[in-house]
Amino acid sequence: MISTYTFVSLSFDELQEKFKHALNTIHFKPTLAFVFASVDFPLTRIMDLFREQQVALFGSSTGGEILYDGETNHIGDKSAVVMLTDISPDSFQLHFVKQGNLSSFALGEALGNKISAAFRHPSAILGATSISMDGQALVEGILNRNRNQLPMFGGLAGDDARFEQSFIFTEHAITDKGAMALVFNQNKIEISGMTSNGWVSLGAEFTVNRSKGNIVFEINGLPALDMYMNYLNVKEDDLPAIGIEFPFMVKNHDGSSVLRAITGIDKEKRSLTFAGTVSQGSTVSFSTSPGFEIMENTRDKIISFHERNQKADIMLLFSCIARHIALGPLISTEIKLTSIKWKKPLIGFFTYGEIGNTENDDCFFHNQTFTLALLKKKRK
Amino acid sequence: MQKIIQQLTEKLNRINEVEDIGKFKIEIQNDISRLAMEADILNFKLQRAVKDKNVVNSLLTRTSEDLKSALQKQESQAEMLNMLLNTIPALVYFKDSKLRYQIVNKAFLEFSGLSREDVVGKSLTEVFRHYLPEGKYQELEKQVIENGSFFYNVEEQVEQSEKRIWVHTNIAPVRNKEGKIIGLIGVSWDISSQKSYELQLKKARDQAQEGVRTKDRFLANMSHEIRTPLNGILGMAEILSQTELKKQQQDYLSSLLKSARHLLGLIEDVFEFSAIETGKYKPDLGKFHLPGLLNQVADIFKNEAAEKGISFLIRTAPELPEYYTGDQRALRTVLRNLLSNAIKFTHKGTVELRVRLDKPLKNGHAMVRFEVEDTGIGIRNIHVNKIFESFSQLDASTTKNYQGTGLGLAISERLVEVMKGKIGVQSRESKGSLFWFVVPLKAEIPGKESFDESKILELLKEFRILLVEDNLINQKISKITLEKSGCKLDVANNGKEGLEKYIQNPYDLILMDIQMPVMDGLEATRQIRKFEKEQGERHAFIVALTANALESDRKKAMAAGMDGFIAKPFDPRELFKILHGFIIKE
Repeated sequence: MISTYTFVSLSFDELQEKFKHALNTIHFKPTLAFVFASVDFPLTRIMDLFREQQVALFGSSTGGEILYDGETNHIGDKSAVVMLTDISPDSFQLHFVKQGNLSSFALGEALGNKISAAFRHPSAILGATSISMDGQALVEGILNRNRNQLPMFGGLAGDDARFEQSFIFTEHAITDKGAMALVFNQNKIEISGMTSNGWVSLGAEFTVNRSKGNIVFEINGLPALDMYMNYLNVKEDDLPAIGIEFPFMVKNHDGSSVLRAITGIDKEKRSLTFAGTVSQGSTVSFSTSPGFEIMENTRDKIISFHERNQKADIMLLFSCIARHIALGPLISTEIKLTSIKWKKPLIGFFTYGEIGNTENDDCFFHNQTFTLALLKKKRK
Repeated sequence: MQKIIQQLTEKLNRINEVEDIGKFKIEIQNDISRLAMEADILNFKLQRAVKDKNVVNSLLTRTSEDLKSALQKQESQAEMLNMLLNTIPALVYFKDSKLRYQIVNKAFLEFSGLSREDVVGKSLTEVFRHYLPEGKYQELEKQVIENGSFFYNVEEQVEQSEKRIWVHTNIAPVRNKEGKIIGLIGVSWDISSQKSYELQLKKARDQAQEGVRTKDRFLANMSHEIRTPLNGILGMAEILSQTELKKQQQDYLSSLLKSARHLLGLIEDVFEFSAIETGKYKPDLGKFHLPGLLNQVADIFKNEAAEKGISFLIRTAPELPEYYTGDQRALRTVLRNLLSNAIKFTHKGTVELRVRLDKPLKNGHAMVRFEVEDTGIGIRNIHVNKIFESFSQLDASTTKNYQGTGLGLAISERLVEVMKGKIGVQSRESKGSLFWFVVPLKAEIPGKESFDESKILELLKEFRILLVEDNLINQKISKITLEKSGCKLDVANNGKEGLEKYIQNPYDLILMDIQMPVMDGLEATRQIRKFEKEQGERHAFIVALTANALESDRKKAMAAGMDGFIAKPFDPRELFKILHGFIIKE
């Protein structure tokens, strides 16, 4: 059993007060905390609080915060959600790498080295900033240093749908360009999870004429930005926000497809920056949520996943911000269902990209998904 | 939502029955807040639907525009292709795998004089009702469909508008993406005018060939016509030389003989060349004695060389066999030509004839090498290659200074070729020339029976001989020639007379001219043979004595029953030889 204490705050003062109150009232000594907060929060002050109490901190700015613990059911923005745990310090390590001039892949490799060195059988919760980050390259870099095998879940930080600056932080460090991993010893803490998307293609296919990594310059003979605006009849100002709602479905050469949300635009170069790689020559189509049917799809997946993995101590949820936009108030349905099924505290946020193992166990970078990770302390 | 409203309505209807109004109030408030939440969701769904609708509409509009422009582009491309197809200056057609026309171009329709509807879906014979079936085109089409073969340059005659037209066609299989043959494409064009040129060309060629044959006949006739009087001139001149003449007269006569012999040589050259060129030359294979042959040839030039002050030498290698089987006539001609040239073009020094084996003897097969080397004027390098061409003397000045037809070397080259040998020349201007040729000959062991002229002559003196000849001059020449050898003979003026004389009293030897009035030599011979057979007479030797020296004439003579053949003007030795042959046979 992992002991937890959770709360929601709408301001830093409230957070500080609730944190102090918790330290006085809870029966365990917190060792590791999760804090997902709006970028408007004074994040460094939060860091100070936890550093003073010597509590390890896995923190990220968000596109909206989620906390379901049986009493509080919170889906909101401009808030902070906090979960304190008593996970033994010998069961986890927290690694933080600033990107500097590294490519997303190289950043992944640097972090991957640390993950593989942490434990004989590591698993990880990944946090990373999102603006200009190629999430796919990051994940590939990490896996490249872990023999392409690593149970890993996580999400890209958000900034309340402004797409300007996102942060990740620990009790010691903070960056708007970097990645971090909460690495668990699999022998002590079990990790499992699921992802579910359900976005559908909107027919017409286009060819990516020119791209580099996650930046696309030309589609169908038009500058990428103009192409997007032109076909969806949207204004420059609508981007990149609308680009997370109507992402591209990218067809791979093997016939499989992935969703790639737009996380940035360059008005000068008329280019689009995506959360993951979009290869030159690949075929893309617009995509959208098929109305409210995606909820049904996710519901079925949650139920079947629960049947196979009934036990958990805590739950981490990384849900794409686009789902929130697409489903509006109904987003609570899938979160509520999760909470009811496991009856354990759930903390999470609306992301700009998700990382999770798919059904066949390969870890992958996703967009538009509902990604859930279950943590459970192993019995001695 | 309706359910909540229904519940709320029911509750409000029962408001009078409510006991705890406080609890009721809370229930109503809960229902209203649930209702508000549902309304929120509904509102959101609506907003969402509007947004989706706008986006999807825009996308639909744009992609349909794209589709439209793609279609337009495709249409204009199709139009372009169609235009190109119709502009190709050839008949182009596509047939399906059942060989029915599916696509044809304008040129095709214009050619066939049909409308597209008349052609599409139809087979070849339905479209071209007067298709001339002797061609193999239809068979080729089947092969294209079945085996994927390509055919180029198929020529076919079709009848269109009561006109026969030649078309030239290329056909190729048409395959779909999977590589399966779905039909064939054909490209045809009218080649009638080209074909008519071809026919004209063939006609012209035939005419040219006929011209060559006419020339041959002309040459043969000329040969006959010239030889006969020439024979007369030579014969009479020789007879004249036997009589007593003054010194001056003898000189004139000598010049006359020389010129006449030269003229005869020229005629023979032209005649021989013509025979070789027209493929009528037949090798005269027989046994011969090489040193004898060399001496005979040398005899001709000895005097001339001596007169010019040139030393003339013959050297034969010691290992060289003496007897051979081969075409001695050809050999003699080639040697005579080479030696004649050598002496003609040499003014001082030496002319040397050398003969040796080119390779060691093997199973009686000898490669005999003949070389004629002189110290004459030589040949300029640039002319060496042309030296064996016909009618070629090196330049006009040469022709002026040296007599000749220019056929000698051409004849020599062709004769060596006929003998399966090789001929060549090495020469340096003003230093001299070396002409050589190598021919395969079969070496023979010398026969026991050797030719003895005196023996034959003794025999001939006992023969009853009849000369059948219409030309009085020739009669005299032949008579004198034979009488000089001590033979006696009777004379008949034509075939009929000859036959009559023979029937009265059969002869041992008959010398028979071929072309004669009243009855020709061939007919007379046939009659004589018939008589011999009927009367059981002894076989008389009949020898054709004629100016017709062609191989075909010889055949005719033999077929008529003659035993031998001598060209006029005849050398008695030739006659002796033939008689020797008869006697050996008997």
